[in-house]
Amino acid sequence: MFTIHIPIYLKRGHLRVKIIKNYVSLFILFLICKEVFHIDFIDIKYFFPQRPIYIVFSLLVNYFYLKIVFDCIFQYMEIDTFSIIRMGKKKYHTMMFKRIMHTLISFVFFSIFTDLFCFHDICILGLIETVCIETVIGLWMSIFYKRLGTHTFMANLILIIFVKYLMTLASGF
Amino acid sequence: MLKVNHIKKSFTKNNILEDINLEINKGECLYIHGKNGCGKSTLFKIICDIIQSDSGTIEKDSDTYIGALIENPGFIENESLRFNLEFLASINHHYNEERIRELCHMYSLNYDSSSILKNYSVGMRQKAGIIQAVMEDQNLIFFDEPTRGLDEESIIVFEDMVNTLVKKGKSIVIASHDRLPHVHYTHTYLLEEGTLKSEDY
Repeated sequence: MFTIHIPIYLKRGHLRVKIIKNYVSLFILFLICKEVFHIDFIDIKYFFPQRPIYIVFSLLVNYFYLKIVFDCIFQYMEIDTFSIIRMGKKKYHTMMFKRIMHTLISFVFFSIFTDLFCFHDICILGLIETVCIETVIGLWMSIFYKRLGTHTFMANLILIIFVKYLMTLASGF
Repeated sequence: MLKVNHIKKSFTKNNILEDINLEINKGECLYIHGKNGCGKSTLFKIICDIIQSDSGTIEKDSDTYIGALIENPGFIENESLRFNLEFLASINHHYNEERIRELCHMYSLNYDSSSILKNYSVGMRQKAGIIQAVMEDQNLIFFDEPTRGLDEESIIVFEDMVNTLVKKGKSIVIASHDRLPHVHYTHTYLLEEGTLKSEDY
């Protein structure tokens, strides 16, 4: 039987394609919010809104944000024992931190680009807040993934939503 | 190749390892046995840098490359065997497809199967774990309960593989309840009350 062998570096490229897909989905989501529903982007991107339709979009946006961080590290988290045996604990944690940082840098550039392109404005405070939350959540995920297993993603999504809800209440937005 | 000096480890006031000393030289095959919870896996985890010891040191030669299978192997569940093995071998750029194919053939695993690891049985996962521990020409290999879930045929394959690797100068440490009668051990140890006692007579 004829089979096509795809080398591992291309498969890792496949992971990048997955992350790009998440960004494209986010971008389309922002466009729909703006053009169809005329939703203020700050509401759904950085805070937790009160109106039901806003809440749906906010959940989707937060889902994609988390998925971007999750996709860049979850394979290493799943296979952490074998990875640590090969590279050592210190190198493993450094690599995880670097991966989260690289993802966040691309995330910041994407955010600035979409904010300017779609809404002609940048919410610096909201951006800083999101980056901080994603960094903490990314590290938290990499530490507790073994204990939470498949529930990690959902547990983190709920945590993010809860933190954003508290921040929204506190800021009186 | 590797020297373990005065390793101590406790978990919430429960002393697992009291004073462990061990030396592993080239071409040796060591067998460690002991009761459940005596610290065999903990010792392997400390040597492999997965957990830290409370005190003691581990001296490792610069050319020592460790391979290990410890407890339940964790793989990338939604990917194939091939993806997982390529992923691991590419971490240190030691991917040797011919060798991996040979090992998969030995253990009757289909390297080209698109089936994901999530659908593998305990025995198949164990075989995958054994393969990843030796596929990169590692020269110091640790096996913790390597025959768990393996059928009789695969146990014989495993024993033959261990003997072949030792003949080639690799060092292997096996921690198991089953002594594996066909493996030619150079040293045998009993891990009891936190210390490693030699049973060589």
